[in-house]
Amino acid sequence: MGCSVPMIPGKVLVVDDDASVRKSLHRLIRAAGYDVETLDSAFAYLQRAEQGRPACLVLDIRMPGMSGLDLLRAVSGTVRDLPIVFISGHGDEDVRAQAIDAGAVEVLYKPLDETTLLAAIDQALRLSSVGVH
Amino acid sequence: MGTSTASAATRWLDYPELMRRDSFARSVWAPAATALAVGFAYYAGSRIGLNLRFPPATTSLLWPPNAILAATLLLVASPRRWWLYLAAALPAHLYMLLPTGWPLPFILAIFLTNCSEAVIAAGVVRWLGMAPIRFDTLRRMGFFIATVALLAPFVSSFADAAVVTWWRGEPFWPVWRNRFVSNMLTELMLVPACVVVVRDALPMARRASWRRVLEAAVLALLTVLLGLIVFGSSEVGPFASGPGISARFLALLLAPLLWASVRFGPASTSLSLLCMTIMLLWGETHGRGLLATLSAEESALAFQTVLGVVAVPLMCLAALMQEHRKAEELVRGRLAFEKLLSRLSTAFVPLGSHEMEATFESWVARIGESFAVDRFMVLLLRGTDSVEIAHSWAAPGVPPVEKGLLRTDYPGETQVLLQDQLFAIAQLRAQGLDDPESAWFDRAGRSLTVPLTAEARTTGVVSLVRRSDDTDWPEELIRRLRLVADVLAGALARRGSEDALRESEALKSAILASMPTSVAVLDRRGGVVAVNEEWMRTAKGRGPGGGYEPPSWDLFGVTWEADLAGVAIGSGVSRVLDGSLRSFAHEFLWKRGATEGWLHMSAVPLKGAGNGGAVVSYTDVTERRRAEIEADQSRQELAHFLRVSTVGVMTTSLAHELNQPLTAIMANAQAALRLLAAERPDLAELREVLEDMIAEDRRASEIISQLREMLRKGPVDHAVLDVNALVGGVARLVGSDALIRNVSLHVALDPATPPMKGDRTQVQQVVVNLLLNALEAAAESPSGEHSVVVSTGRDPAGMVEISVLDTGPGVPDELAERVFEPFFTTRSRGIGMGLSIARAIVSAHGGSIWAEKRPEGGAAFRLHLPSHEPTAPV
Repeated sequence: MGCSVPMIPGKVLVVDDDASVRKSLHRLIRAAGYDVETLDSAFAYLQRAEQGRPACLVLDIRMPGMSGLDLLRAVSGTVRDLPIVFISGHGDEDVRAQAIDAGAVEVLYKPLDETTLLAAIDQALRLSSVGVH
Repeated sequence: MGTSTASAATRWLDYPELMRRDSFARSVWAPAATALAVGFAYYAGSRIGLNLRFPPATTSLLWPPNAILAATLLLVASPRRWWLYLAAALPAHLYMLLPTGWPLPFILAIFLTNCSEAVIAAGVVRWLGMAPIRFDTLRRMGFFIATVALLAPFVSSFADAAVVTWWRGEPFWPVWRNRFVSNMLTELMLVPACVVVVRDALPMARRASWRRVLEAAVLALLTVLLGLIVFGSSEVGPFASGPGISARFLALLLAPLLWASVRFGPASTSLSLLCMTIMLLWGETHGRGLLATLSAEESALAFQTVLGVVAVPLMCLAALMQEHRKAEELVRGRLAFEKLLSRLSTAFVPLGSHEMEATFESWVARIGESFAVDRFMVLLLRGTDSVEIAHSWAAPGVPPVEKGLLRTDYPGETQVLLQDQLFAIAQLRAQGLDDPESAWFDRAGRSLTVPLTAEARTTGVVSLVRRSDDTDWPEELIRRLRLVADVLAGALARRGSEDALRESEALKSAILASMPTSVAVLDRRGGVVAVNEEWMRTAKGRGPGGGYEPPSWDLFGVTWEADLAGVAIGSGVSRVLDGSLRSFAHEFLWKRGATEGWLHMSAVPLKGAGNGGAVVSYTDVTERRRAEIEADQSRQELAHFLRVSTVGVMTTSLAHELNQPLTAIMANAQAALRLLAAERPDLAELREVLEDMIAEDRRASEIISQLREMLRKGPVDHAVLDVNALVGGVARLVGSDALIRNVSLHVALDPATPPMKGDRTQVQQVVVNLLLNALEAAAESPSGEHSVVVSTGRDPAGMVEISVLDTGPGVPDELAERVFEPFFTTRSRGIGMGLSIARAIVSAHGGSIWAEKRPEGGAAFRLHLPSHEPTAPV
């Protein structure tokens, strides 16, 4: 434990509509040594410029407007296509199955365990570095 | 009945169906029988007259046939039948005179002159308006003597003498004089007797006492005896006649004549004179008596002179005595009637209406006896076409009429009489029944009826009824009957008013007694004037005569509510009595030991009472209040159940909402540990992390508090509520539910929304219910747009306004009210109580809730609730 230096470089982009969750995850992932950025909606991701392209997404499933799954479908097969770790506060098994089928790296349930979260982020970054996801 | 002319004071009914009768019967057989009787009387009179001659003269001393014809025509009311009766005498006239050998024309001429005397006599009487002829006053007797006894014979004797002179060659003037005197004396003696006997004999005989009959018999016997002595005695014996002795006995004849004049009237006088005349003439024709020594002419002259000198004064004396007797009788009758009327007027005054019945019955009998009729009836009008025989009296021997409504099976005579009453009443109605001057009689002339009118209202009639119809109904009797009717009408009106008042009072008392509530009537000063039984029972005897005060404390126990109730009630009743309050009502709880209850008290002004007052009532509403409390408890339990059910529905959403702060807390804690592991931990950042964790903990606590609030079960707790905070909190609570349903939830909270006072749990429940309904509806939106908007604000009246709009299918107009009914739902799940409870909660807070269909599609549910804005300090 401690502020470690990740073995795989890359920016982590956290997308969650809840400000507290965004802030706390930003703090945790940064403390873990990752480069992290947060957005408050799927729409914000789509509108985000190409600079600083993230290596993976930590994406809340249920968000107002466009959900995480909707975003996944929207960017599937494009240059924006990234490894995604889904986080959810609902525990909906159907949604989990859909997410896995759509190619999500992992679906984690809130409240998030640090170890599980960081392991999923590592895996996503590794996939991103080899261009596979 | 005669044809008496109605006086100005009496209004007789004038309708053709009722006829006035002649003194003789109206039937077809009556004129025939009368004509036959006239014929026989003419024959008998002719026989007597022929024997009353001093031959060889043709003139009889008395010629009855002319007088008989005259009497007949005077008795017959209608001149149209005169020819019948005169013609009836012709056969008798021919029968009598043809055997004399006189020529037929002469006989017929004599008949005509005989008839002319009767026609002149009756014609003059009728022409001068003195019909029917009477002899009961000196004036009437004088008229009779002047016209019938003098004028008619005077005129007819001219024709008579002319005929005799023409046919027989007798000197005119002697014939005229003889015939005149003869006819005059006959008219004088015979006509009064015939008229009175035919017209009045039966009624007089019915009314005569045995003493009167005995006196008449003695008079008749004396007359005959003295007549025999004076006119029939011979020259020898104790009654031998001679100038000296006969003269003395002649004076004795005055005794019975005077007796007849003074005691029995003109008819008896004329009969006595006739009797003496017959006995005198019989004596003379048999050589006996006073005139036996005189020649025929001297005898005739002496006879006629004496008769004329004696008859006229005696008849006048008789008429005068009759008039005097009638006057005395009239005065006696009037005095007796005044006495009767005076007693009648005061008889009913001290009596209550319930005591009048027996008095009415006894007075009806006395009145009937006083009027000397066969029946006296009091008939009361019932409705428009019914008559009730209220009181009836019948003279002894007369069949009585039973009291009651007019029946169709009354005996024939009574039925006819009563039908005539109904007919006349119907006629009077058409002509104005309330005319107290009305009077009428039935078609047989046997009843006299006048209305019973009091206070310008006719309630019935009184009738005098007699079984015969041979006397008139005098004006004096009609006047007296009217006076009696006035008194009876007044008594009946008073009885009717008192009966009506008593019934009204009894009804009011019954209504008051029947009321299950305690009722007291107060006067304007608060004094108790009337109470019902329930009040007496609960007020323990504090009834009329006492002052008003709230129910005694020893009845209701002493509780703080009852204490306050006494003050409030006393003040309220006072204000109703002084008119400053239109009504006052108060409900309060009373306790006595372990017993308690609720009373509803009301006070309203006493309407209709000119002097003010109030009606106070106490009603036990314990059952109702208990039912209300139980219903309220049931409602609260149901609302709690719905809240619990709602929480169950929101479980996923609630879990998500809790997850967010928990996730933040966990991530912050884990980040803090990593920061602490650094060589030089950033304390400032650590502090920030801890602060964030505290804030998230509070966030989670708030959610749990809301959850706890929804699950709370307890009494209503009103507090000042921040509407925006409440609605915002509910929106956050259901936010996850919106996410799950993929519905956009927009919250628009107007900062100008005023606070309100209410129960947080209940108001929150309403908003949650509306939002969840809206989210469910929006999720099903056919348009593809799924959104809900919740907003707050202030309406123009300053009330709090909360609106929930969705893009769902909307609420049809015909269901806009039904959706608030209990157990009404258009969905497959749910029991349909949410909106019903919502409306009950809103109504309990003094607000309103309704549903609308949005023009752009979807539904809008709006609440208006009273705001609670603090008053500005003075």
